Amino acid sequence: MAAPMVRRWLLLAGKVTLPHLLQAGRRGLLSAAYVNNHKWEAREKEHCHLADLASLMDQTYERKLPVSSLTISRFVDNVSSREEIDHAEYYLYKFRHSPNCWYLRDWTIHTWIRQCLKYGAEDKALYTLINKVQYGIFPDNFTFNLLMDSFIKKENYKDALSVVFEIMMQEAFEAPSTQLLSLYVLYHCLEKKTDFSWEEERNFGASLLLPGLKQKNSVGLSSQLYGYALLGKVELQHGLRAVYHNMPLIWKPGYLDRALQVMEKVASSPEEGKLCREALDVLDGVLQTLVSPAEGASEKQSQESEDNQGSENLVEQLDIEEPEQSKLPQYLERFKTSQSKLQALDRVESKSLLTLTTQLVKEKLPACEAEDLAAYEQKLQQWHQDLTQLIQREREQRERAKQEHQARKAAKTAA
Amino acid sequence: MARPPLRFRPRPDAFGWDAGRFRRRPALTARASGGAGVAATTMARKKVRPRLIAELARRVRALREQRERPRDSQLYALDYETLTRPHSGRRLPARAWADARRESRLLQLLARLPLFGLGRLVTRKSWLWQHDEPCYWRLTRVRPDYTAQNLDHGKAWGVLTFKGKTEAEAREIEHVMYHDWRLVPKHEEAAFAAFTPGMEDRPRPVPYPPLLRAMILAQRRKSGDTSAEEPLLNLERTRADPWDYPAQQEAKGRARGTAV
Repeated sequence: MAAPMVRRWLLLAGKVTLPHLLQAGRRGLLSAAYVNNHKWEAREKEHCHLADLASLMDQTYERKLPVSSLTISRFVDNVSSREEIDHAEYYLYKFRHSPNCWYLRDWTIHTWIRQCLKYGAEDKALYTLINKVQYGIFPDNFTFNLLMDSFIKKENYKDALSVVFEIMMQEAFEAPSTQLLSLYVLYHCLEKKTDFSWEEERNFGASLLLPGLKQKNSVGLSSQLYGYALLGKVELQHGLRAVYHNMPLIWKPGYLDRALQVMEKVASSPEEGKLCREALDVLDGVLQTLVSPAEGASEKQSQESEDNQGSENLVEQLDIEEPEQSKLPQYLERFKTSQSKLQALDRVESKSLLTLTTQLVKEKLPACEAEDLAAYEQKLQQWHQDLTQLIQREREQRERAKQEHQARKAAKTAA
Repeated sequence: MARPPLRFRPRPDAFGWDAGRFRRRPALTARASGGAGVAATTMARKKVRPRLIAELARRVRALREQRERPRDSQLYALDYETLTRPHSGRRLPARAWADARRESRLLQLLARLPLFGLGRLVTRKSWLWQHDEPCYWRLTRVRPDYTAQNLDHGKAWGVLTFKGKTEAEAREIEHVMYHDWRLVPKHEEAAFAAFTPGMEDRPRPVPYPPLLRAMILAQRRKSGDTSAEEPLLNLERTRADPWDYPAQQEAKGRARGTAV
């Protein structure tokens, strides 16, 4: 009897130690100093009983009175287990559908994501992020970086990609660290899989374009080109509305034209920027697919035009003076001339985009991290000040309400 | 027997004249001795009793109307199959059918943005099609309707720039519930809002016709004005706002449902 017990103990010990060994090898892109939560844990927080807060919120909602942002921030601060994360999610939903929904604080959102990561509920964090309309979760760049890094560490690139698409929807590519991390994730996913649905292509195009516009180097320029190429493909195959509807993109036609303008700008500018061969090949492939099966696709398109899309496409085509389809031969010519010019000027980078991005990340990320950490510390102090102000205001309001109540009671007993 | 109409509710003292006239006569004579004018006022004006229960009922009804008023999400809900508003049962006008299927309401766009898109630029597709110059609202305040499931109804305030001219103050945004709105992406804001006011040809003032000129000079001589300058006619047009300039939303009454 002892032997099976010992064996079971050994098995359990083995099970416990093995994952540690496996995880010791995996590293995210961000440094440990960025990811650790010492500063966040060290902040002063009020210790409240969650059940009291929950019953208070339920009573307030029943009486149809507004719940203050302080209550929900206290609730999320004091979450201490996985079940309580589900409760917090429910109360976040209720808060979003209450009159004070605009006042959900930054620190509450940051704390929510941190708590989800702490108690292993990354899928819950991702779910609330994707349904941001229902939960009101709009993290800042620091929180986005933390979330993406946790997914990169687990090599869950699919979820990291969803996070990048959410950043794109919120147009939150302000910080260079976010731009670098998202470009890394995007190129990683593009390398693995090549056939996408048109919605995924459109999302990829927009997510490559937005950080590419901010980065002033060859990775940035190539990302712009790649993004414009994908968006141009969707524009010509599914119409302009398919590109800009519910996306942070402009409704002016001519995405392929803009891709070619990027190429011409790089060819004619005296700076060092180069374009990747990968991106140029992608644009070439897009132009070929759009031009060559034009005869075969035109029959398909005429069939489609008899379906629902017919009237919509007609409306769009009436707007556009010259339909993009007719400009394709010109685009091909322009592409060929620009490509030959770039090769003559030796502005074509032959390394793959993923290697370039990894290199850039290694070079630039530590500096960006230092900036981000300094900004984060300042933000923590600002949040602390705001929190103390809110608590003071709540205390004053309570005292005032108590005094009024007492005055009213005294008046009633006197009368 | 002819019953009196129900409007007239016989009060206890309506026929008091019969019941208590033996008691009332001395009082009447006393009053009549006061003067003919007094008799006239007592005849014209009856004593109005304060109707407390009716007042209470009126206040309760007003409170209930305030509490159960239809919210924006109910007033402006739309059935996309038949393009009718379920609240009023009315159908959208024919020119709006295409837009209602393709475009979005303002709060539908803002619900997906942090802080409901404060400080962002929003345009209307009808302005994009109608005018070349940039026309947009820059948002300053948003109040979504929390009863909506997707928070896609509500009110918004902002500063208007119409055809390149920016107003001084923020005001409520008109036609928030129309399916006509587009959000300007952040990286395109500068290019979108860039506006160089074109050279306006100010027509030079022209001299008056001879008869009018003579009349003006005669008037001047009569009033003793000895200025020798030529009277000139100003040809500038009175600037009227275009038909789609957003009106003051505050001036419109409380929404009692939609016109369409």
